[in-house]
Amino acid sequence: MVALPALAQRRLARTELRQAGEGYSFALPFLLPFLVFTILPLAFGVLVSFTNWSIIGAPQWVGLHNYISALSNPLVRQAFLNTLRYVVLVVPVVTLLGLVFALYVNQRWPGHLFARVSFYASNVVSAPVIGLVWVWMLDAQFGIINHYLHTSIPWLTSTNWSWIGVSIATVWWDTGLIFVLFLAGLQEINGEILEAAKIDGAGPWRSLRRIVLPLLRRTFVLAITLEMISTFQIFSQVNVMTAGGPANSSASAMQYLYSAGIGQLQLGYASAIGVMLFVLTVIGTMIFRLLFRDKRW
Amino acid sequence: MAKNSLRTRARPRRRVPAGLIVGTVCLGLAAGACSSTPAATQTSHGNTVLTMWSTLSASDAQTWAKMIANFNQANNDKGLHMQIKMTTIANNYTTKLTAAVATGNAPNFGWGTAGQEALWAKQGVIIPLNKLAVQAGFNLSDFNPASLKDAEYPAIGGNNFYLLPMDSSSFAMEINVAEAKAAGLNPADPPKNGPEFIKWLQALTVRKNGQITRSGLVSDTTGLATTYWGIVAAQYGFQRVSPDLKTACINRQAGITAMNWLLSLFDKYKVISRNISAPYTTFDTGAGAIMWEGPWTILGNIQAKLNWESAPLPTIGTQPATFFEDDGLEVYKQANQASYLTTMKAIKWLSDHSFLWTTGGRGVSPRKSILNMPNYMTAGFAPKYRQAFITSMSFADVASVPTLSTADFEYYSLGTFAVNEVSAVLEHKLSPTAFMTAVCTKWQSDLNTDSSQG
Repeated sequence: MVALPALAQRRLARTELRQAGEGYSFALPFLLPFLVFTILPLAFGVLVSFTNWSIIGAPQWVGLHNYISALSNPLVRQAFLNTLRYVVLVVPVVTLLGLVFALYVNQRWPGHLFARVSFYASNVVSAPVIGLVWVWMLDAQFGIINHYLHTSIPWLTSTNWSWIGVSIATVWWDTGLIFVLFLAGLQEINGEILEAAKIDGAGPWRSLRRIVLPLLRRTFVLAITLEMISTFQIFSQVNVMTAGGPANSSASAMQYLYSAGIGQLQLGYASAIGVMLFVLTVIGTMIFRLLFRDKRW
Repeated sequence: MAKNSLRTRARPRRRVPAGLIVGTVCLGLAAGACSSTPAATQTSHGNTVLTMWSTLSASDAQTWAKMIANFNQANNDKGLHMQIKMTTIANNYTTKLTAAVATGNAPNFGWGTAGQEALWAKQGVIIPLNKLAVQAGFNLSDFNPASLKDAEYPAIGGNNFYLLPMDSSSFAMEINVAEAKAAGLNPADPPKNGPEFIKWLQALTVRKNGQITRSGLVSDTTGLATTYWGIVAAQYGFQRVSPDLKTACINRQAGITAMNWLLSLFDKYKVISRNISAPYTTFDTGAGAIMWEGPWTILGNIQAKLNWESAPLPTIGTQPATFFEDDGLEVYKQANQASYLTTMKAIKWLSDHSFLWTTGGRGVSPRKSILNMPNYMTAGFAPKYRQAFITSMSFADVASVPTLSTADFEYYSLGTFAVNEVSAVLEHKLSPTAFMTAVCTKWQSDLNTDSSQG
């Protein structure tokens, strides 16, 4: 390595600084709003979680009182437990359905063009609308689900079934996005690999297990991570379909946060629940990423 | 590698980073887009313009819109020389209003429910109206004293009322007349006590393959069921709190008895289906024969072309009682306090002309002068719909608890503490005795906390 003269070094440093500045200024239109509308409110929320505040008047510092109060509240524990139940049920089902739909469309089986649109269509509708429609579909008396299943399951009025009813609506809503992710992943797979496998005598099922699914590993990780984050924050469907009832059996952490923060103006308490949910979400996704991290040989 | 390749490229000496320009323009646009919010009280063409936020969104909203239109017509460059600009707030009213007050942009007045806003009264979001009412020309002796009392918050001291009552709405019994007649019952002679009520429900309930296809009594397992329990508990002598708001649960056994009664309707007599998620639709479609509800359902039932009538609630317990709420208009904190009297004068006009509201909109008038008008009982909705809601006011005493933790005591709501506990009992996850212990412990804790903060 040739050592540059001091003047050249200074010129290089200035050039690099200017180029870095140019880069940051290109990023500024995103960075500034992100800072103002995401990072600062996040930090403010963490700060508020240590106070007692209901918008009017100054916040009063209460330390860890909100966290202790939340952790000792059985309703909060129930809400977090329900949230974990939603994650355990919804994430695998959405992932599996999204993959199956993507395989169907990718294989260009009959009706694949219509399927491509219809599989994704549910995702463009807003969650409250989804909730309202499914309230009627799952109605024990008038709902078409019970009508065609010839049952009278109290999907939304029973403590045993309410969270399952909400999960069904959530799966229907979320599958569209995961389907798109898997479809993109499948279309990135080089067709020559599959042709070569076919020449070597591999059947469709073997190709799927040995070639397609391993190549979709990163798509799996992305899809499951996104779905986990989304399901941890489940709110609209719960609020519209059951309002957390009956008897808190379907309440999620976000829905409880909403009722405490917005409904009862306990912003400090609600912020504490929000921080706890954030930590749970981060831990959950980190555990998943650690379990499925790429192995380097 | 990247640095080396950059060093070899020719670069212009001066260049304003395009990103900086874009960023600055974006910020400038954003700043320019923010306009100052106009003050609540304005003037326009010689009229004072007041702003009102309304939470009404169902059938009673139509009647209230007429009230505002009548006001604006009567006072446009004449009379009070005022106009009211009304905005409907569909949801999150509490948060929006509080934020508006905090930022100095609150409307002049809006709808409220007596007894549910102790925190707002304490924070100064709503202002006391005693003196203003007198200055505006109100004759307070014309009001039902109980209605004015309901609008006070003794927990924060003083004898001020914070809401000008516009209507009192009680629960009454709504009966599907066609189904009653088909069951051999006489709607003109409704049930008046517990045993008669059970007989009616048993006659009206229809089952198929062991499943209830028509409930004798329409109920959910949340807010409506909780209100039923609360009414019957009061009929047995239960009180959620003592009059001085210091002791919770007066006569607990009455609460347990009422809960056992409610459970019996589901489990023993099987006259209520547990699968009702839409009570109003269930009643309006005839899938339920009787419902206990408030007068805000009148127009909806009529629009559903239901053949129905109202009747006073039966006395299940030892004394008549029913749920009710006093709704009215409250004045919000303003930077310009001179606007309060102007606002109160507008409220007085609306109150003086509330015959339309309490005959064709909702509830019973709290003003004797209006109640005594010769055609009050026959105007608006037909007497067979309205009458029972009027007469029920004479024994209506189950209302909101005017304390800082009022939400925990609420019956006719969703997701509140009391409602969640009642749901647990109806799902057999809690016994009636354990339920009373849980609610009473919580309510007493709330009263103790509120007392220390008052």
